[in-house]
Amino acid sequence: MRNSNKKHSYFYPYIRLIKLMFKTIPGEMTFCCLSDVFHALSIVLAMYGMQLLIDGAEEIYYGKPTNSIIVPLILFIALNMLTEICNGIGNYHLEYLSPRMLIKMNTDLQNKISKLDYICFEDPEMLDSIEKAKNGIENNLLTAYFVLSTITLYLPYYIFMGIYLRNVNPMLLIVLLLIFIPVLLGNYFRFKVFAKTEDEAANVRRKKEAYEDAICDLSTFKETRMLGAFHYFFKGYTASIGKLNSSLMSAEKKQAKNDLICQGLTAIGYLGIIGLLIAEVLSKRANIGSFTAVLFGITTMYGLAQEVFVSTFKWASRQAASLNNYWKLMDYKEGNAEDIATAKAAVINNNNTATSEDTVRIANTATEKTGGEASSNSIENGLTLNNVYFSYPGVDKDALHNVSLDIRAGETIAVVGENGSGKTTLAKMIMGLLRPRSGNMYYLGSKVNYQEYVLKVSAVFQDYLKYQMRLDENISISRQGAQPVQEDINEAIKSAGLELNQKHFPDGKETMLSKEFGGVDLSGGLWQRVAIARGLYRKHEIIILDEPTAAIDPIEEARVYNEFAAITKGKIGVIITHRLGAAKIADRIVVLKNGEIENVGTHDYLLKNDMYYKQLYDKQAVWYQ
Amino acid sequence: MEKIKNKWYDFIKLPFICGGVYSYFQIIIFVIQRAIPLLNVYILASLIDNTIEVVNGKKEAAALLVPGIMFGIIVILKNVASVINEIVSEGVVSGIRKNYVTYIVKKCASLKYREIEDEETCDIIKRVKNDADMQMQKGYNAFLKLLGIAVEIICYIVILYRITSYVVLIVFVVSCILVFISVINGKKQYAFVQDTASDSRHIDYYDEIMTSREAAAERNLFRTGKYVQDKWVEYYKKIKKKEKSVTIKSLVQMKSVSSIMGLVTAGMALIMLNPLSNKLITLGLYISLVQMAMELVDLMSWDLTDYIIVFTKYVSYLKDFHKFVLLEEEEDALTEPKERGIDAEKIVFSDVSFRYPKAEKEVLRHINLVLEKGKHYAIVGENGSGKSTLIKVLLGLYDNYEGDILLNDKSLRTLSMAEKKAIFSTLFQDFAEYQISIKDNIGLGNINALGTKELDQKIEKAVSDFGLKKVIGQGKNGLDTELGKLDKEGMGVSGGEWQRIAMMRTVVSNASVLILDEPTAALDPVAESRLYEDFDKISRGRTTILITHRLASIKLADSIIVLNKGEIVGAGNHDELMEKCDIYRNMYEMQRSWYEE
Repeated sequence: MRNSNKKHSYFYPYIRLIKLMFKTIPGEMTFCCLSDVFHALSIVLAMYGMQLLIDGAEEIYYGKPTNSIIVPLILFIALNMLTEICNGIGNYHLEYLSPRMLIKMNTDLQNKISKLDYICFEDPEMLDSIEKAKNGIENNLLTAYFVLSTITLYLPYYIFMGIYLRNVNPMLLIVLLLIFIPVLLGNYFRFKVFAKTEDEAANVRRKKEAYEDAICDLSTFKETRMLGAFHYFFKGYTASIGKLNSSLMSAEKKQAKNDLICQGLTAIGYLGIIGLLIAEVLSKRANIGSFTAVLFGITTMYGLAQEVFVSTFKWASRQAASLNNYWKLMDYKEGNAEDIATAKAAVINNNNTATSEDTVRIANTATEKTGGEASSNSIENGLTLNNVYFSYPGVDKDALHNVSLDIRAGETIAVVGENGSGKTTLAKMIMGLLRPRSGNMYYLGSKVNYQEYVLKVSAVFQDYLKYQMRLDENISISRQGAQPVQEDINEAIKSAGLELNQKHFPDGKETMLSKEFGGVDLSGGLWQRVAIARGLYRKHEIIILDEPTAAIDPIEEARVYNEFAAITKGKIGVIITHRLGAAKIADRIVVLKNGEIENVGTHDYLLKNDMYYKQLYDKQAVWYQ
Repeated sequence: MEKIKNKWYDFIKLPFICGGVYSYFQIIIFVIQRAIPLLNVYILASLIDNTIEVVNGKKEAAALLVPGIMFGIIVILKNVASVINEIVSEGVVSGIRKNYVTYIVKKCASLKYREIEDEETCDIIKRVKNDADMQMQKGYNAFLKLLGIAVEIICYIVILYRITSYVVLIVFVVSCILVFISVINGKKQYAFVQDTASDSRHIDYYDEIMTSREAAAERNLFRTGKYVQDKWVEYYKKIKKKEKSVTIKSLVQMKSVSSIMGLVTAGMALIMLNPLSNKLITLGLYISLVQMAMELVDLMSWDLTDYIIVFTKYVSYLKDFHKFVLLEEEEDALTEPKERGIDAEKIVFSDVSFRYPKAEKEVLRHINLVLEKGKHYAIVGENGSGKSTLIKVLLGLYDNYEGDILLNDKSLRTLSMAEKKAIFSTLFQDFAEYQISIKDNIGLGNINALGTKELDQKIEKAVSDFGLKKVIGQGKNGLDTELGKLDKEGMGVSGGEWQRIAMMRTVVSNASVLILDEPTAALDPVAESRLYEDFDKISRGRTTILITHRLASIKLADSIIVLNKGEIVGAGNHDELMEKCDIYRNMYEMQRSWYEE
């Protein structure tokens, strides 16, 4: 959200949501507003019914026959029922929130999130904001209805009451304002106080949860117990609860002061009205019927204002942060990440101009080192990275620094390096998920157009997903928007080495792969194969296998690498690994070090010519000699 | 909170105890708020009656003074009470957080380990722990509100009884019907939530695929969004459809009942005309009573159902809580390790078999093993061979195994948890990433010495030994830099660095037995190699148990134990195993083949 909105950011989110509601479900909303107005009218009419009844009762009290009350009584009943029906209709909107609206809000957010650049998910602030936006969409919508009803129900109600009271005595109108305005003001303050407190409390809550997780979470439980660290964390936990309690309490106390003043004013207004009414009755300008009707009418109204506003505004203030985040996310421009990246690049490039000559030279030597085979031909047929720089948001150090690489058509490349050398970043760069901050990627001789490029890329991710769906869905999900092709699924299953035996897949391709949703559990090794089948099913010219981290044992791991190399024949294949032994199966090996390409070449070439590679290799091999 | 005895009245007792002083205030305010409408009946009646008399010239205007002032006092009292009620409620919630929520966390931490790994128990814990403060507060609040409604109805009936006795019966019967319907509606709506629980889980799951960080890479490349979203919409519509019929049914029911109640009110207005015309009651009282009847109808047609739903939820929440309280606790679970642990001379596994609770398959079968002081042992085997379970049993996290484990000829079962904590130091495969300072993250390994100069020196030495100096140098406060994103100045570190931090906990520990579960899983080859080279620095002559499936590390071990499907299929040094253990030889050859020229 831009700064200009910040000033009224407490109410602005709701106004915007209400606008969207009218746009999405105009029919329902119009009906809702009209029924609200009608509801307001019915309350005032019911008050009039009360007046008629009391007038009738008064006459009976003074001796009129009992049957004279029949007509007012019927009217009284009819008007009250009308109110009940209006009330029921009004409440229907609140009890059963419009599915179209909920689906719209949810899918909008989902679409937005799936369109976000991948890089956004590396940014903790962005993640936080997504989490907040997702929470409480229903509550936000409900609160929006409440906020709207202040205009469509309470405002007309006050107007109708005003008209009614004006007929009794115009002075009453002024006193009515005395009731109305302090209530509104008080709640405005309440909204601000609590929205601010909730903002501040959010961090304490997060801390509290972190301590709680350290103690109770399954992932840390046994370690915390064996370390005997319970009291250490519990101290922090109780301290943050204390902090949370005192900040919420001080907000309540602050608010109580505001409330007392506002409520005092309201009480004066209320008593003023009663006084005026009695004066009217005493001077015989009003009868006892209208006196009591107005009295009760105002009491109801006053009660409504108290209850509805207090609870609505308290709610709204707690929800404001979440709704605010919702809009913040919806306003986020997808291209943004790229803009920021280019802007950053411009600055950094300025600093780099002096060394750009070196860069070219290094790039050239890198190509020469591969054995001089790289030619213009390879660039036309394959994938080229040209002086690519990349860094993650909030991190100063480059994850990839001046990376230039040619991958020929049909070639299998292995990328090796230490932890943090940029292997996975390079993989995601080749996948098109991350984009260079500066430098370019070329595919088949022309600069990569990402929208088309990603359609040609497939991958087996390091932390691939285990979709809790059927086996065939788990595979066909990788081909976007197309009807699943059974032959291709079968082909992928076969290539990935999945055996559709009764033991693991009782329902064949239709086996549900989820214990929770009534299916079966797979072992890590089988899941890895499902992930490979998923990667293969997607139409691709380039495929990347990121090093599996899921628990598969070395025997399985070796099998996966070997089979993968066989499958990718004829296509560009990229294998990310830190087992140098496994890298041998590739045509060429790219050695990454601190985000830079240290060397490229065949295993034998590197072993002979690259000290660093030899060192890496020996370090691992020595344990097997 | 310490002596909770599951009793049916816990639903009042727990919040009341937690709230402390505020609870008493809440009761006082409750009484005031309930008394006001009743007093109001009489005060209003007197105000109206006196006004009429003054108009009719039967009384002086001064007669209005007393009821007028009373009326004013009531109005002010009502306002002040509602303001104070906000503070008092917050006070009660604070108390709930301070006492009840912390009790849950504490209890959770003291549970037997097997409870934690049990899925069913996990679900109970989750349900009890999630938003515990809000659940308790909402439930208690609903209870007070329901009590209030009941009190008001009873008072109203009492007032009516003094005027016309037979109307009372009607009001009573109709009220009962209304309460009955509300209860049924409440239960129905609650049942609806449970009915749709499975659909809701689908919805949550699909939403996660579309929005979570973990799914971001596949979502972006494969564009899985549309496919999953269609499924999401399908399930969402299904739930909403069910919800629609439930909502409409209950609304129509409520409204028809409250319409009947409205008719009853009108009937009462009619019936009371008789005492009115006979001057048994004044006009003022008549008006007040009709007005109050209308308010009650309103209260019963809405609030009653809502609060009953909330209260029903609260009751079933407490059922879960009662189950939670009964979960078995581990003695000594929360204590710090003993200052001086027993020096483990010899650990003997004597015919140990183990199966997880509720599981049929034995994970460990007839394990016989002797571990001697100062020696390095490696346990190897495929996934699921029982390596990690062996450790859990040794640590005493599970003690329902057959056979016995002896430490210096003394059964491990006889040792207290605090003693066991002092004997073993473990680097778990899924080590903890605590969001606290680097220094404390490491220092927790020797918690009794936390804050001493001696430990600080050890930590600094470990940091430079394990090559983390550079990483820590990036943090603003050196060793005191917080890890994680809780703090603005917090620092994120990589998976490999986390593991090294976790490993240093075992380095600074004084325990005599060191257990390393897959220490190289997240490490790159260089770091892995360095770890093997530095192995002596870590073990410092202590008995070491290394669990691994990277066979490179076996060079470090004096003895290798090969596990397969819960049984020991081979033990001895590398050469012996190569000769006589097929499983071992296969694993080794497979890995070595990568490194053959």
